[in-house]
Amino acid sequence: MEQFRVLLVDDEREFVTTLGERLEIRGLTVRIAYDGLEALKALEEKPFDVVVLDVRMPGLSGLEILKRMKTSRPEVPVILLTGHSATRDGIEGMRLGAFDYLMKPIDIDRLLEKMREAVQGRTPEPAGGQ
Amino acid sequence: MQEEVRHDAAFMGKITAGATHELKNVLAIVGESAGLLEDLLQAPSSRDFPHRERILKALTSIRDQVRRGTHILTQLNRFAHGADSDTASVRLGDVLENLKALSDRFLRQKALSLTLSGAPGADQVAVQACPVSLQRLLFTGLMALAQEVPQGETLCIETGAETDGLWCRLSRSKGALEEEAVGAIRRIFEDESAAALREALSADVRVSRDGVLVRLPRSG
Repeated sequence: MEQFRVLLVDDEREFVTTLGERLEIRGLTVRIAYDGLEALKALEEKPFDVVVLDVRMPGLSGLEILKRMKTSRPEVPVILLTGHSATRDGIEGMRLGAFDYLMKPIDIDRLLEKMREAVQGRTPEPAGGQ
Repeated sequence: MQEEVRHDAAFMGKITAGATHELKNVLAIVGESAGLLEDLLQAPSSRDFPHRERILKALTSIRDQVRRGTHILTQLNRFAHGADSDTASVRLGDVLENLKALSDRFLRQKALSLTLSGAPGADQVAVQACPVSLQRLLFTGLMALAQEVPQGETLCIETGAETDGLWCRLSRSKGALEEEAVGAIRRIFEDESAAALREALSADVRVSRDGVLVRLPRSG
């Protein structure tokens, strides 16, 4: 069982709550934020081992949150969720310091593997989605 | 591409690409919901849940279909983004992978399948071309060939690189085309719209009993 504290950020409520539930079944401590401001507030309130962040969200985009996190919480690794592989978003996210990005729909085992790599500070393999 | 047609294609592409994003979110929710049900049914406390095995089997089917839908949407998204620009650097391998995924339905209606093969590295070589026009030219060749072969066959697209360009050959996996079929495919490429397409891409198309050979210059 994993012991990570993860912050999931996505405006697709059904997706993120179900994913959160599945991660909790696997022993993770999950906090959910449905938009960028809520995510930044959560990051101020509690420590997290890893953040999983959707790139495309209304209001503050995932990339904007990532930029702000790199100033306020640079030690927390970020895994981005994108709609499509090899998109400009994913590549731009890596340039801004994301640990890696995964394509939706995600494979939960793949996400867990990425989280482990991110928390342990390992180089992602293979980079750039599934 | 004519200006007005280009705007229409770009509009169709933009709307289609947007819809693929939304549909991927739908599939993501379906996938996670099925995954959650699977997690719950796998728990020791659910061992005696009525119809557990049947439900797990159905959930596996849902997962497979989510994967299938995701693959189609990914390719459809790439295809739609092809209309973003009039001319772009296009890798033949990407175009053919896209063509294979999106023509699958048309080929299955004739009980046909498609395999891709090529000289090492040829699929990585890029040509300067209009992505939509290039797709349409290859699709035209593939559908013309599909009309002329018996049901149940496998069609092949083989690629190779030359000093000044790329070639790809669309053919039957077994045997040559009948002379009658060669004539029918030639007529399709002599059609006004196909001729304009060839010209726009500076493509050389030759039809023989060996299949349809398309030659493309590196810079169109």
